[in-house]
Amino acid sequence: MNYNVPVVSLLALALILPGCAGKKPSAPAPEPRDGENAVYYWKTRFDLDDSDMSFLKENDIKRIYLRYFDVDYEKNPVTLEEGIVPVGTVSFVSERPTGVEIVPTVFITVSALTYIRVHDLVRDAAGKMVQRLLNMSSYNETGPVREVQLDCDWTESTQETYFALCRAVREVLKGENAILSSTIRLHQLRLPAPPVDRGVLMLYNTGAMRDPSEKNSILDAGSVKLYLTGEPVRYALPLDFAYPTYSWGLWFRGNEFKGILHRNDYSDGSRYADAGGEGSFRVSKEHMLEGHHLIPGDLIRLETSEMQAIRETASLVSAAFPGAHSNIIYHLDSENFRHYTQDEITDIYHY
Amino acid sequence: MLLTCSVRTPACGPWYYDPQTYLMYRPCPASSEAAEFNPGARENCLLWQRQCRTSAPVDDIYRIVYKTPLEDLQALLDHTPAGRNLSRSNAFARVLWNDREAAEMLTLAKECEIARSELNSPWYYPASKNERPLVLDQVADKAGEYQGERFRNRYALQRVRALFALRDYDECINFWNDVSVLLQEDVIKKMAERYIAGAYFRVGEVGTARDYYLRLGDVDGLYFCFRDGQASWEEVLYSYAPDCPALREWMGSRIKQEEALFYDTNDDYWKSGSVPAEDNGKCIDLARFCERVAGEGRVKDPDFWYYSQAYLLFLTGRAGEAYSVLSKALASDGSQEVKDNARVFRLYLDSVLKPWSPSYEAEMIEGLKWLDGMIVGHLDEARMETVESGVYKMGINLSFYYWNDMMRKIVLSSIVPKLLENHRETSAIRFANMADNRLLGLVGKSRVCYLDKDGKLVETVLTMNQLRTGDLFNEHDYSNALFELADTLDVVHLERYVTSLGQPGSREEKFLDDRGYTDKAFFREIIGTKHIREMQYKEAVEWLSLLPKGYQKRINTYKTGNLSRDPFAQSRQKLKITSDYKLNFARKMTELEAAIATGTDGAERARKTAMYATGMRNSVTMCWGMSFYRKSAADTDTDYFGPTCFSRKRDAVLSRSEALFDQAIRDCPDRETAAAILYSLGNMKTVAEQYPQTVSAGIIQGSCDKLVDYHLEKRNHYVEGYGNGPYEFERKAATTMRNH
Repeated sequence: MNYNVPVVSLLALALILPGCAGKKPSAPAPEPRDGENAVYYWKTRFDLDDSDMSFLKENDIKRIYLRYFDVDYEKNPVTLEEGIVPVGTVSFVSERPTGVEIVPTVFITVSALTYIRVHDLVRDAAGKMVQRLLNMSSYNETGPVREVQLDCDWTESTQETYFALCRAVREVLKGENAILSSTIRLHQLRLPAPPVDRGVLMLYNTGAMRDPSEKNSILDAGSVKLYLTGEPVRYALPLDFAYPTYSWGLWFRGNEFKGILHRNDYSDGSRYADAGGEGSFRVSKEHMLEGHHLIPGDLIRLETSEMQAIRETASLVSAAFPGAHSNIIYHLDSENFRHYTQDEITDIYHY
Repeated sequence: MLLTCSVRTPACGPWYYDPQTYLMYRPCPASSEAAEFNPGARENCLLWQRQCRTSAPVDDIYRIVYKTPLEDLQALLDHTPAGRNLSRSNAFARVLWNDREAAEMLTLAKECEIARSELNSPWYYPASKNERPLVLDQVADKAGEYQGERFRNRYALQRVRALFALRDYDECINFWNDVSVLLQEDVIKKMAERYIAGAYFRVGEVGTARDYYLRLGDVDGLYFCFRDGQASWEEVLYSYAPDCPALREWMGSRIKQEEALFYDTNDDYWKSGSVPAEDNGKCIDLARFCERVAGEGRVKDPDFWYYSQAYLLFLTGRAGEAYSVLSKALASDGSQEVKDNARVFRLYLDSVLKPWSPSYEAEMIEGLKWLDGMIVGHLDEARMETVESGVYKMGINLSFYYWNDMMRKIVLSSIVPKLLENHRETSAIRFANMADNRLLGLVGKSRVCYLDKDGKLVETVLTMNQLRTGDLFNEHDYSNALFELADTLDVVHLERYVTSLGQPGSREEKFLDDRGYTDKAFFREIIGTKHIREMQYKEAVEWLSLLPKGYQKRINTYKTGNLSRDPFAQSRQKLKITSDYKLNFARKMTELEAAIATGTDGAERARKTAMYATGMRNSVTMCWGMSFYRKSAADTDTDYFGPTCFSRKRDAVLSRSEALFDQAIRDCPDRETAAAILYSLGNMKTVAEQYPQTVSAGIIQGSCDKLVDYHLEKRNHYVEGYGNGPYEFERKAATTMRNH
């Protein structure tokens, strides 16, 4: 087998794969859309049940930001070949709900970004990513692609590569009449804005998940305040805002963080004991949970996206960014929505 | 002047690795490019040779079949100018230029390969549910239409590949059942059968697939068929294909991982002799696996498995057990390359485990002779890299040429320290000399970098002789293990060594000397310098007198301007004539010693004593280049054999000179002479305050109204230069005088 096959350009790819040719969406580049409710979908199976469908309908959801795949660095342990690859590709079980736009979203790991930089693969990576998500949309009939979103925890040291990648992706998307958006983390607000058409400010993961002394790493309005007060934030992008509705259990042994537990009910008194309130539980009996071996003494910190924190955060955001915008909920999961009333969900979308 | 601007190649760390940390384990025999990337590639190339009735070299065939892009093959087929150019540079391309049938076949195969790789890429995602890549359809059709005999197997392979990639597994199997009986048994048919096995697997006929894989020895396929979620990958491979290269490569990479951890410069587990506790168990499990594979008689190369087992034992701190397992490796079937690697390992273990004795010494020399043969025999692997960066890499013990690395590891980390322990210092110098200079002596050249007068970085390749005799900073001879020994051992050992150069006492010494850098002047200069450092000026004169005229220009301290200050001045003053700097100083000191010893005039003797003390003090302070090759103990790249003696030697000289200053003042026959000496030493305040009625005090009072300010400024000036510098002498001398 010849491993040195030259990289084929997008044009050549279109020639080789006739299914790709002539399938460009004809929709014009959309204007910025404000006040339209949206939701993230962040699972590996796009499988909407009745409650999901109800949520979309009741809340007049116009867009689903659907994670198509992650881009990660990979090294084959046997052949030692290395490169960036798509991982965790979503499989489509459900069809696109009527009237809802699917926004292909790609998460890029920092190690992938580093590999792209070191091997000067910006254009190559951009071409491959866009071609793949266009093919996925076409194959799964998710409708014309009007927007693509990139998600990456870039920092000052990786900013240059991420921005170059954004520029290259945006360039390719122009030919498809689609815009490019990017997630913006709070710490990225003080850095230059990436060269994209829109940003989504992520108002979650505000604390240190692995720190045993942290009270709530999902959302703490006090932490958000630190980013939004002081010097006025003048961001060079129109922003939408993403609010969390998820919860999780963070598992510690001593001071060591052991993992994330997706279960959010620790009321079983035979296994857990209240550990001084504030949503912390002490494991009292050895057992297995989600494949993890929990032993007596382990601590579970149950974190939820509290409505009060969301309200306070929304108030801070309104003051800092008074313009029109859309709100997005992270993420579509009926289990999580059980903790909120419909009025509360409506409130989140109306902030 | 270029020499004052020369820089060292590494702009920043890491500066230095311990010679111990050269990695020793070698997982696989070196393999050719073809064998490395394409199992069966060589056979395929040989088949092309036969089918095209050509004597074109296999490498040329390999390059065309596996490395040449489609456009170039098309150019050959179309007889374009680019194709003609290619045919002129490659013998097999020339064959294809005239053999259209072969060129057409290869072009189709390349088209198929490109389309398949697109399809197999993790980035591939079809754009529609009924997508069939057109190119693969065309390849399958075209390959199926071939009616010839010559390339029947090759076309059948391409059709199978295309159908498999199209996931048309039934058609793939049907086609194969129709044609396989017509195909010759060769490497191409085997390649095709792998796809047929895969097709059977995918249509659910796992048993048939397994039979194919077993017959073909396809380990990945086998693992796919046999995996049950319980057995590990290596166990499956060992059960069904014990001799497969993948199994050996897997073990090799696991051991390399553990070895890298063992010698990692952050954790230095090698210093404690074992990988960390959490990896100890892993290594033991791997060693047991190796032992089982080696001992069960199912592999053709038990030597590799014993060698690996021995190394794993070594990594867990069981060097003794490793040694006995290594004997099995050397006595087992396998390859010469593994035997050579095992022999290196045994040489190292010998040097670590065996006590020093005449019999071991003889054995060790024989081992090193063999290792030297490997260095010479494989030199082409390293010649270019040695020229490019040999001086730099050896200077910090950065691995780059296995055989030389191993010689350095054994000699510098084991033999030399043992010789020192056994008080065989002269031998230690001999061995270190070979370790540092053998490879550079063989290759004879190295690249150096320097800043030119415009500040531009210039790189150039010099012969070793040019490096040693020219103006540029010598990056090798004053920063390696040999120099470290020469600079730090008692001078008598170096004297013995130099005396024996050219007249070795044994064949072993001759072997070592023939591989070292044996310019006597280099060592004589160091000996003379060490004598100055030891305040043995007469001996320094003896050794430095033997140097050829102008030799000092070769020394780095001269090139950096540290052999120019007047050693008898009270402040930093440059000499007008700096030739024979050290020799002239030693001569002057010898003359002063004689004058002090024989002089009858008390005042004159006191003045000469003060001058002698000044020279002595300056030789380790503002004129440090007189006694040392570095400005301080910290200013060093390497630390081979323990901390250098810089501080200890310097303190001894300072202490002696202080005593001499005291003596000079004490021996003064009158206050006028004492004041004059103190004045010459710059002790203005003392003279003014303690000797107000002397001529010297009068001069000071007449030229300085603000004596205190003057004094303070002068003190500050000195203190800034050296903490233990002239100010300390001044203060003590004043105290001595008051008592006097």
